[in-house]
Amino acid sequence: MRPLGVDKTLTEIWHFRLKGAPEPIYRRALAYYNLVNSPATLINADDLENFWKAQQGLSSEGGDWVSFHRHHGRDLEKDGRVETAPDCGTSEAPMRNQMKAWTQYMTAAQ
Amino acid sequence: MAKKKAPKKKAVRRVNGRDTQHEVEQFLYRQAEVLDGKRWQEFIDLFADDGVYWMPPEPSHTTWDGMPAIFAEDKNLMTVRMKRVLHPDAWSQRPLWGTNHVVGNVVIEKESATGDVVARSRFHMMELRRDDVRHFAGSYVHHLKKTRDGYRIKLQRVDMTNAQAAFDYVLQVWV
Repeated sequence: MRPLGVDKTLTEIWHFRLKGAPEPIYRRALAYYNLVNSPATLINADDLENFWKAQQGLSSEGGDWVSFHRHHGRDLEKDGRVETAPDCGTSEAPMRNQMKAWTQYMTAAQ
Repeated sequence: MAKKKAPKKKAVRRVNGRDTQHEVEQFLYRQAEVLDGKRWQEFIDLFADDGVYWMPPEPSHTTWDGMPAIFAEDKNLMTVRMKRVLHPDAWSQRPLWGTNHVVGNVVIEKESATGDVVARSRFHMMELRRDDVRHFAGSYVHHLKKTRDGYRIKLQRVDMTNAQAAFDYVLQVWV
């Protein structure tokens, strides 16, 4: 992903053939390329839509908050570490965790 | 009484002959029509069982097999694409966009004795997604198999003139 400006991000896909690697590795990577990241991707289309929506939201006069609520309340905290609850593959716990850490750093005594 | 023999029908199928030209044009127009009408199952049904829809990233590519592609899909993958786009939870695809294809410059490249055809053509496609209009254009090569139910596509190659350009958003159905 290449940020070109505050409101423009270019996503590109590069495909490599690894020297000496078996052919199935190349084929597998190629299937991933075609399905997930090609300019006609079935998968990444949702992510790109999210980027667009986040940008639209931030540049609008709407709310100042970005929601990281997905699966909130199901996070598991163990020894000060937040973990994603089981069967919550798309939990936004990592983002919540990141923001929590950022708040801690920003408010820590000098 | 001698049975009157029906005059033998001579199969005249000249390259660029009127019949083949007309039939192929009608086929291509129908394909554009089902695409613009979002009748995607009908679109998929135009392909032979082993048919492939292929959009190479650039014109120098000679095969889809083992090569990066914008699209390289058999009927199975095409069905996955159709189901995903129509799935009620596919919120990134709502509202569904509109397209308008114009297909022309149809040239019959080859016709075999059995009626299979290779045809070249050009297309322009306007797409409306929310408030934005995008314009795609390029050429098609259709490898058509003659069947009892009309032509079926063995291979459709789509060379888009703007294949190398950055897109504001990815393509979600066939062009």
